[in-house]
Amino acid sequence: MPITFADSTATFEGACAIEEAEPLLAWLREHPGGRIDLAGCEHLHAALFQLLCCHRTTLAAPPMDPFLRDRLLSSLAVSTPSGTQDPSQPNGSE
Amino acid sequence: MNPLLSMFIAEARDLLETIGQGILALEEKPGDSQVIQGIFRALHTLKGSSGIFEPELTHLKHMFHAGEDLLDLVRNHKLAFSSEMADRLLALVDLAAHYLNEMDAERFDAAVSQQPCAEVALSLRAILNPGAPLVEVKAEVKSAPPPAVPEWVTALPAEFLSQARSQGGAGFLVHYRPDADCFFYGTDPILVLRQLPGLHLLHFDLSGLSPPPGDDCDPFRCLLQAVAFSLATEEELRHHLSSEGDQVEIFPLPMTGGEKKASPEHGRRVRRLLLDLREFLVLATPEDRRSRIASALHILERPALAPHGNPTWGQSLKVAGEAAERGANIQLLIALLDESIGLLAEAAPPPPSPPPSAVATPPPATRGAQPAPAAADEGGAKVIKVDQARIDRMLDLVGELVVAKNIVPFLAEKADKEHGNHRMAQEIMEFFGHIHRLTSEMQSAMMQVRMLPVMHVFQRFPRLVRDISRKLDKQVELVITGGETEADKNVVEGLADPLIHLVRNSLDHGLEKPEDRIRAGKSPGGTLHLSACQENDRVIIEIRDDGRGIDGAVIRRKAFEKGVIDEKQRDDMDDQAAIQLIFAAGFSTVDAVSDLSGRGVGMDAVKNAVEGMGGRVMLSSSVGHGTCIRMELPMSMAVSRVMLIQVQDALYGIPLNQVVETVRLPRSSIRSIKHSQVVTLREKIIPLTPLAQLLGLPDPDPGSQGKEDVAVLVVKPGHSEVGLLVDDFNKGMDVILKPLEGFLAGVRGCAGGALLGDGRVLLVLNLQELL
Repeated sequence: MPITFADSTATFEGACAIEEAEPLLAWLREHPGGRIDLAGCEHLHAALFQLLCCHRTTLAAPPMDPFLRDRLLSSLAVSTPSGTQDPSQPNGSE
Repeated sequence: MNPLLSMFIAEARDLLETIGQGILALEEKPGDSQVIQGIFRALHTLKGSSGIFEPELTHLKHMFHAGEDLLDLVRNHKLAFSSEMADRLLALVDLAAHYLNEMDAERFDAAVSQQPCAEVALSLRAILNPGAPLVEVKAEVKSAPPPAVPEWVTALPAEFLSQARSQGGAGFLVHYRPDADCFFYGTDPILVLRQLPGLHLLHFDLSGLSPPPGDDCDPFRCLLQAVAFSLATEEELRHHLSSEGDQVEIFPLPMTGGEKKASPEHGRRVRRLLLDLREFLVLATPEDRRSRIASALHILERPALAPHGNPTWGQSLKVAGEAAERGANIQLLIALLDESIGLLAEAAPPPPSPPPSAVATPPPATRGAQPAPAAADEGGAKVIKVDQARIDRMLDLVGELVVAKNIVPFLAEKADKEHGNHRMAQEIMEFFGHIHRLTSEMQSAMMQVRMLPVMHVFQRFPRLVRDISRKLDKQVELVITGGETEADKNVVEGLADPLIHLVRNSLDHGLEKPEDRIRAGKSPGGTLHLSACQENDRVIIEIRDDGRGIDGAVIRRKAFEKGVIDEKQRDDMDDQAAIQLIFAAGFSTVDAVSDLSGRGVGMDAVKNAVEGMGGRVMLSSSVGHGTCIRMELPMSMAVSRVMLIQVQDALYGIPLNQVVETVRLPRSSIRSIKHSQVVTLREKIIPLTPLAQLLGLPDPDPGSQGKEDVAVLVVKPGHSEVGLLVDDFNKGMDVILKPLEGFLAGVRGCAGGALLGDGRVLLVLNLQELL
């Protein structure tokens, strides 16, 4: 199972495909601001990506994959200790 | 036909009209930025909407695209508007209009459209790149992207562009808009982007993602958009993205421009946020004021919130913020918020205003014309397009209502006389008054619906005059006045052909070449005046030129040679009567073009068309000074005013516009000349005809002989007056004239039938046919 949901933490492993979209959405709704662990994630399907863009989460561990880390992470609605946030999203902070 | 396509055709026709008018307006007044903007927008819309019908309309789309690119440069002052450009754009308009007609007739063939469209597109592109030889341009049309920077590039954040540019400039921007259903086709846009060759930068546009969605969030709809910057070659990119089709646009990285522009969506969101913040501050209580100010400032410091058009925002914010924090006075901050909310409201895209209708009108005309823009400014004209058949159906119903209403007085009379209830009769009549007022208003409202300004027809003339006068090497100024005069749609549309004919004739034969005009002591440029005005319930259209005029003597001679008139007529006729002969059928002047101006060609067709609408044509001309053709038309064809007359106990209607006068004369004043009866009225001899005889009714002698007086209805159906002997005159009334149908359709001498209030059918006579 590429994403394992353990209470308030979702751990992404390997290539996460579209099948995870529904469980992920359910988890995001149940755990607003939940922690996501992307360290082992190798690919994030666009459906999952957009869910993570519009649901606030806390980043437990950044992805090791360079594409995910450099290209996608900055668009996710995650709060991290270093706090990157897309400034073009004025509504995101409300 | 596909309803979408028919909508496209209707819309495209309007847009082409806008473009055509705009181009002519630009020739008058080059550099009118509003007009340029209008043409650009129209071309842009055409390009977009023809794209919906790909692949059939691909070639048209390319052509519109070329036009759009050209106008884009004009609008950005990179290219001056030239008459060459005007010619080529008009060629585009013509070609597109032609294909629209083909589509309408379901004859359109995409393959046939390729060559002509490509040629027009090429001619437009040739203006764009004047240096480039046509062949090369041709190749470019196919492979190279248009030079205009697409909107999605200009919407990119500045830092994205500057980072991309730091790579030396070689590279392509890829705009990827995956289909919302792409997940179902197994496409993973992130994977596509991940594997994009030469990927250097990636920017996601998440504006399609709603803020934390509610329960209705569908995780299987793709709402992402992305722009990638790649260092790969265009070919590699196209190869990789070939399966994504039109979801992808590739554009070379522009080295200049492309500063981030606020998108309307972004502007709206910021504005909403600022409004929220303002409320948040206004509602602050003394206890939480300080903390509220701090959080508001924290949010406001985001660079994305800085309004465009206010470069000092950061500075002002700092000052206001400090003031607020120091003295806990939030007024300054609120004022600042108000200001930037106002700015954002202004920056919101204005509603697309319809093209100013007066643009095609040359300047002198505007004093007469009352252009529409004022109305259009009030949030766009609210126009519904309705099928004419529906309106006609309503008009029919109103007509029936009017007839039905007229039965009420009969009822009142019945109540009074047969039932002896005088009071009841009075009440019915009172009630009738109400219905009468309402139905009359309803009828005139329905007429209004069918009214069109004659500008509708006039607006094509600036183009026509321009084209023909260029072809003939003549200088002609077209002056249009009274374009706002309204008339029934059928009248206005029926005017188009006669008017085109008359205008052509004036240009071709009436107005002289500049050198001839100078020789005749006139200014080199001729003037063609097209005017409309309303006189009572008639619309008067005049076409006046200051050309060479028509010589009555020549017409007389020609008409005699053609056998249109006999020798006696030739000698008796005065000049004004003679020139009317050009309206006579058979007065063809093919062999008299040089001195007769060839005006006879088709003039009888003009006359027939106008008279068919219940109008009249008159012509006056003076040699050397010009010609004026005046058309009088009924404002509405739906209601005709007729005069009722009685012949042998039956009522007939005579169109009121043909009635000159009604007189009662002593029988003794009728004289006989040869076999015909005549009467002298005000020193004019008027031939008399009994109407009963014309209608083929049995001889009425026994009854009418006894009367001392005769009733004479003097009519003028053509050029001469005729007296009709009738039994009695009745009132004039408005009727809704219906053409006779079925078996009766061929009845001669009858213009149509109408229903009288008591249910009787009234025959309205066509005097031209009878006499």
